[in-house]
Amino acid sequence: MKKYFSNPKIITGIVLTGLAFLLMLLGMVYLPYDPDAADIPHKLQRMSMQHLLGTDNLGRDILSRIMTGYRISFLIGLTSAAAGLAVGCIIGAAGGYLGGAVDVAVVKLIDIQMAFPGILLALMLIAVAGPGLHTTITALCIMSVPRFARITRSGCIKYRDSFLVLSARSRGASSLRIIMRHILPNIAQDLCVTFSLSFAYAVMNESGLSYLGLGVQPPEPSFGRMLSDAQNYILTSPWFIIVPAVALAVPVSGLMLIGDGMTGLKDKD
Amino acid sequence: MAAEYETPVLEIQNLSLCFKIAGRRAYAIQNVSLSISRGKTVALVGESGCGKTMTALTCMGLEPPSSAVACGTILLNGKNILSCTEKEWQEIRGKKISMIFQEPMSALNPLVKVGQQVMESGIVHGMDKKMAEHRALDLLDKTGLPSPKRLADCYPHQLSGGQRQRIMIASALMNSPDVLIADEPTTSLDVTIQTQIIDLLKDLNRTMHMAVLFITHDLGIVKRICDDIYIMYAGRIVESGDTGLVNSHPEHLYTRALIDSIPAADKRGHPLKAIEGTVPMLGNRADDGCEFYPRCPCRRDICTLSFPEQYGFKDHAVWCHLYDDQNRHSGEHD
Repeated sequence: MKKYFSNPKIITGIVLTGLAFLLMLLGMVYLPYDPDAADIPHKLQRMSMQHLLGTDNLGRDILSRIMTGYRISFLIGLTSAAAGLAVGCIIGAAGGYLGGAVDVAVVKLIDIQMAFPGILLALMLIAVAGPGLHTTITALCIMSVPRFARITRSGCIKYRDSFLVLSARSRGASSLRIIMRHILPNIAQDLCVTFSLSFAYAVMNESGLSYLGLGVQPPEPSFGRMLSDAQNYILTSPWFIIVPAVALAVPVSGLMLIGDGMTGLKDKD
Repeated sequence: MAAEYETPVLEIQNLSLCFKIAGRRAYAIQNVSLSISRGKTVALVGESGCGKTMTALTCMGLEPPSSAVACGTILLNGKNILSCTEKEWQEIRGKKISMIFQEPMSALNPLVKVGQQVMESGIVHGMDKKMAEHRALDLLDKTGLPSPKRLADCYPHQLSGGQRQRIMIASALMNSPDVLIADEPTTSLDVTIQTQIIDLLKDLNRTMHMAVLFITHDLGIVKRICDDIYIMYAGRIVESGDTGLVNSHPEHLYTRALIDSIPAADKRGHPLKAIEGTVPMLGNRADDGCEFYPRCPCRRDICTLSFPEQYGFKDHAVWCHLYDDQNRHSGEHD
């Protein structure tokens, strides 16, 4: 455990993600301004003491919008990574541990999903169910499943024939017990890496969809929307696009760094 | 007492296990028969690749899924367990038959405290947590581990090889099984620890009245603790009998070669005899004849034609064409 908290990549990652997380938490109890309140006379202001990060094209406080925007990002990121973990583990373990026809089915399913562009899948869902938070979350959940399924499957295959599992079986342990108690803990590190990367990808994909107007719908603040609103002012008011872009990059790069750092430590073992 | 001890707890009859290799049936075990009575220790001896471990795994229902049991029966307390479903096997494993593996490090989960791993065999068979813990500590004590309470809270990497093997033994004994299979339990340990572990197994065998199937390639150990011995070569039993008899009058040339290859004090100064060649690979075994033929100093043409019949009786039997002539006469002696 100690080596994790002395790794510079992981520490930086935790600091960056933590910063975004703290801003979100702070936003739940205190917001400098109402994030949705338009104040046209004060639109597109630079950073000042009144508006720490300036105002947008409708005069809304950008800091307040970022603080609320993190809520959606974290909600979507956590939900889709957690759903991916749960479903992916079940599917992957079934395929990897049971083998045979089940495994073939699982591999085919993963391959089909991997070959299918994520945005296209989201578009399809949106065409059927209409844009919105639920559709976005569903699409991102489905997108994160195969990554976990692949990791779990390969872990199960690796340990299925090991002495560790053989001796657990010789004690009379059931397959479920072996997977839960003996295999999954041994691949927890890989799952953690995948979790933080999935989290980061989900946050990015959500803003991608929202940028296209397909994700979270206004007035709910979202980074993608902020960026698409800001692109018309990119030359006149550059901070308007830079601030949300940096705010989005902070937790995403933080999570990526955590994942990267853990991979590096694992390879060293 | 004699009657109770004479009924075999585990009886393997004509067990064959085959794999499909390149469309051909390759027998990893062929016509193996073996029986162990309560309170006895039986050795299964042979080189690597002779099918010892495969025999043990088949007794646990853990043979690789790519294999098929061609024929035979395994009787546990008179009940054929070869036809069990996976669910029934889970009831038997760890409760009626337990197994200790060669490498205690790779057989223990590195992420679970050893105490928990010992308790696991109790818990999966319906023991409640308190009782399992009590029993586990008791067994850790019985297996000669100092301060069991402290060790139970350790992870496998914090223990030494001998301690780990004692943990494995304790875990195998949780439910006082009828049969304990020890698959080369001392191979990965150094010699002083080997002796301790063997003494421990012998001791437990005596106090708990288990039947022990001891798999090894070290005839020196067998002499010390086993009642009966089965010599296995390339998937077949080639000689079996009382340990003393087999050791003092080895009949099969393979057994003789094995005995000759044990280092001993009186062989000082002489080069140690090794058996030339290796056990034939599973894919290259002949369908008929004695597999020891290529390495046998007394090979004859008949050896490639058919597998020899049994010569001798319960206390000492051998399967070798060398004794063909005597075999014919043996009927008269009987």
